[in-house]
Amino acid sequence: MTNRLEELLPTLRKPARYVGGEYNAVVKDKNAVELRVAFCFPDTYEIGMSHLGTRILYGLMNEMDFVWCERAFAPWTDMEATLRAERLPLWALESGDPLSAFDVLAFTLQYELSYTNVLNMLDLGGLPVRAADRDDAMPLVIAGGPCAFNPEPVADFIDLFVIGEGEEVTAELMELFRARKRGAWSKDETLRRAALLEGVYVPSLYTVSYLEDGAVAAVTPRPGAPARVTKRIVQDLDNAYFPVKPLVPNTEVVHDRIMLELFRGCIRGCRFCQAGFTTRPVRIRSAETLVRQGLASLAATGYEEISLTSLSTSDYRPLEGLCDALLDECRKRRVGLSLPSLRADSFSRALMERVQSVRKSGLTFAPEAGSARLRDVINKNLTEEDLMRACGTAFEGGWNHVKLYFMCGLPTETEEDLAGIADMAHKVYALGRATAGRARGVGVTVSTACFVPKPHTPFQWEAQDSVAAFAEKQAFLRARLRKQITFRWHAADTSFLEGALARGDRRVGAVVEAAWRGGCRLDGWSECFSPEAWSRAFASCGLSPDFYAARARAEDEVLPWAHISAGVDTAHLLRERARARDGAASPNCRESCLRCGASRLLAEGTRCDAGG
Amino acid sequence: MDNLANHETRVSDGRPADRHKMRLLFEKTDLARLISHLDLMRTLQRAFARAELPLAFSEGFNPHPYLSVARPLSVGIESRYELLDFGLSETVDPDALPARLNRVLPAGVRVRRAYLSSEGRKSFGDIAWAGYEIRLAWACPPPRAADGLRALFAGGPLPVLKKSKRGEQTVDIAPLVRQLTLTPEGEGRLRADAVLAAGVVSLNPAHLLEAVRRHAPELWPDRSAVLRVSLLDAEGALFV
Repeated sequence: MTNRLEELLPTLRKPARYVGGEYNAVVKDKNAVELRVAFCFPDTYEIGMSHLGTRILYGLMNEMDFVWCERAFAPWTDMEATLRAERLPLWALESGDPLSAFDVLAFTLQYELSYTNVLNMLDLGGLPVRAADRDDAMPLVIAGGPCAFNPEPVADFIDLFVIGEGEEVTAELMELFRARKRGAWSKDETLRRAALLEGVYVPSLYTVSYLEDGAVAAVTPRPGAPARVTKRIVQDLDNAYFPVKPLVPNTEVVHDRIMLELFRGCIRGCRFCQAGFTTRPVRIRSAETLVRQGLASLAATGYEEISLTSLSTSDYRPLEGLCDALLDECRKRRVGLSLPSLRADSFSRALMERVQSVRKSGLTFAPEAGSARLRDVINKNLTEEDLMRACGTAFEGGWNHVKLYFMCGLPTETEEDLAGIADMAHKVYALGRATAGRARGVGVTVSTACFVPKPHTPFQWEAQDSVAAFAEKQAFLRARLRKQITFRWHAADTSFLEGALARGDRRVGAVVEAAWRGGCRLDGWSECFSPEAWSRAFASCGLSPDFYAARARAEDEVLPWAHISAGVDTAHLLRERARARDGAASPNCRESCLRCGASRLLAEGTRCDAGG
Repeated sequence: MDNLANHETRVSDGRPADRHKMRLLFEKTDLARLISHLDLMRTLQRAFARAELPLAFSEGFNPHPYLSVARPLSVGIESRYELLDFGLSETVDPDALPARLNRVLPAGVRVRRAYLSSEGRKSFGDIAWAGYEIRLAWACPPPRAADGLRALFAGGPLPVLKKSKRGEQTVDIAPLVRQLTLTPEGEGRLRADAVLAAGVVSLNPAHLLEAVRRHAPELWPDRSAVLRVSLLDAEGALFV
């Protein structure tokens, strides 16, 4: 960072996010390490610092003596304008050195609408955005995270992708990059060697051909590259690295608390949920380990809250015991315990008393769909009685406000299903009034998102609703809901773009670049998002977002991510798709193993923890 | 920064016993100058937790710690003289506090002293003035800048436009400047030692510079940096 920038900082919005210096930030002697990595989060500091995966990989890399991992985030618009006006490069927070000074830039792809931020950060760092334009002397640009399960839309910009969980393969890559520096390997040679690691995808080693109708004909690997890249997982979650000294930001971030990770994978198999399929098989962390990690994190951070995270926290068998063990220490320290991702069918009085014993947080349930029929289609396995019982328990326990989360545009959805959302909200409201009485105000919020079909799910072949269809459904629901219900709605145009990018092929990279050159960035922020600029970008590349978002695929179509495996057999996805069409729910993995294939990822002698 | 007294976090109930009420003198320098007041309160609270120093909390539905910073700084201003009043729920040797806290504070926040505030120590309400070192620098130094600035602040009324949440108003800042000494510090550089109002009515050092912009624009510096060096009582004695 320069003196000039230091002077300008106080004039920018939330300047503390640009300077580092947080407690537990890792500062090493740059002359004493062999490899310098900048972990790049392509969104703002407040979002990036809330991400557990970033904390894990930052800590894990810095545990390695020869690596110094720093952080970089997407600057807000005022900072970007300042950097460009003053011709200053984007830097990493710990050393203040520009991104171009690093050996490796490691991006995490959490959300499709952050793709333009990746390009913008590379450009602000003084680097060409296209991988082919970066030479041997420039940093290698690697990426991972949930969006890497379809890496094609950003394949032109990234040198290599890590598919799946990063802990083990990141350590292997660091060793490889050190060997590169010692042996002065070229970029090409480094990438050829990296492609031999399990779970590493080097897009430049694959050629994509297309049919006349625009669908993918084939993805052809060059000699030496694997035909299919299968994701990596952590084999033993209980003994896996976990950061018990996370950074404590000096300025408020979105999730400003300790996060403990109870398990990976999910027994539920909700058919719309990408994470539910891509994080299989189920692996759990023991309550003893979690308590130890929780206490160590409290001592190292001074945080006021611990959050127990997973895809479905109430499916963690020893949950009550874990809460009790943590609550002992929490009460002493006035620390709150929060349990996001609770299922309505398992929200009990016992659990409620534990969450509210220190501090009362908000309560959200996710029925996802308004009718029993549609909940069976998506395999939510939740009855209206379950929901009413959970809300009743909450209202009786002193909660005044319940938030209900739904999706619009799910496959086979009809007007009746939408009307069901309103009916459900009204019933919950009436229950709240009856339980809480007139003295207490009762609030019910209905929050609806627009369904985005995602790769590696049983709905990956489905057409997404158009923006106009979403708008009609929103209007229908708004008219249907009584004024006592608070109604929130996720913008349809961002969800539609998310849909187009999520299932895009390699040609979409040109669209992302055109959009960025056309001024798009921070697309996930409504004050920055420009649907018109994206329309122009698609048109300038001769492509249509409808082709990617609104088109149903034939089951035998080669999908752009066909060469990437999340470990779940396509045959399983097709079986689940057929059951969805029949309106049939499937048992959860604890009731009956459906042979999805993911347990093949486990080493010999270990098994999926979903089993009974 | 008018009515700064309102910014102090105080609770009427659940105050710690007198023997546990303490005051801390600390610095907020370098990059920590960018930490806002609200963020600083959270940062300090977490540092106390890391140091295993149990803060006294208020009673009631939403308990919060008794924690109060005197005359919060604007973002961007450094300070060598910050005071924090707080309460602990147990007795702790004040002399041990700085080391315990300094081990767990983020870069730029450093505790200099801690003391019990039981025996007749004045409350923050008795703070009337604050001392600042303001460093000014010009790329092309205007001739006789020091004389010009001296003349500007020696004379009559100095109306300046102050912006607040309640709108804009023009205020004469002359009575809010108790002292202003200018010392050359090499080519194109001046140090201004200023004592500005910090009581019920207060003057942000930024408004001094605003006065220069408004009344002597030819003397407007290219760069400026502000460091608070003291808090003073009505008589101009150091407030401790």
